[in-house]
Amino acid sequence: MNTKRFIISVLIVSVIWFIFPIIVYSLFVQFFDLTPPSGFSPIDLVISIPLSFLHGFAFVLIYFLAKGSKIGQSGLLYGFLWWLGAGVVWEVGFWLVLKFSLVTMLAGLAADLCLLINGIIVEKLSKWYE
Amino acid sequence: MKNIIIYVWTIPGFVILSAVVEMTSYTLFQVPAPAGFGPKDLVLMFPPRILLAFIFIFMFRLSAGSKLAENGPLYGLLWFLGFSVPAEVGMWLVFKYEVITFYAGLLSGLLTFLSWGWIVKKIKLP
Repeated sequence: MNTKRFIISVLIVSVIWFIFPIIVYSLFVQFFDLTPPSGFSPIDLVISIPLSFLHGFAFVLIYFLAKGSKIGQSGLLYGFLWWLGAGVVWEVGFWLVLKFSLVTMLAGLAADLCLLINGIIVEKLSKWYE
Repeated sequence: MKNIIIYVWTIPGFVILSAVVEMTSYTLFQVPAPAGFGPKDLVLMFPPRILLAFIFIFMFRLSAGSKLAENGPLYGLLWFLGFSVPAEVGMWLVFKYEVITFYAGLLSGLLTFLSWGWIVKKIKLP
């Protein structure tokens, strides 16, 4: 595994995973009257930064370790499986159990589409130096 | 046919295992589940858990022939880091429940994914 390629991938994936949902939720607040969660302070947003890196690290490492297999050949498929396994499970689970509104669930599902983008990016970056 | 049978017994097994681990973790820490999470909610969570278990097994199966497929617990640990930790911390930030409840959630996720990873490596997937 190329360390430089790995670190760059983790950085890019983490930044997208952090920023993309903020943009999506802002658009939903603007156009679909989504109510932002109460009690979510700027400090909480700062706590989310290392969390994004942790997710990025796991996301990229699984893909890099899967090199040579079917999943390691398609970033889009990899991202889609993450979207189904993580994004849909998170959002539908919160909607069912925590009684989130339908708009909040849809915003969450749209925000988690960044997993597809990240899958494609990781695939491109993994081939970058080859 | 063998493909389907493998999923038929593995997925319900994984779902039941995760529910048992979750209940045990919260009991161990002697804390209530977050936001009034009760037995009814545990049942409601079954469909998302079925999807999660399917994706977990399917992705491991697709990684056959790679380094990832050689180490089930590592695969489980990475799922814990990439899935459970962000979900638990995110919920904790939004709902502001006690830290001990957060720890119980983390322990539950860790044990669930490690055991899933260990099992998915042990079973002979076609």
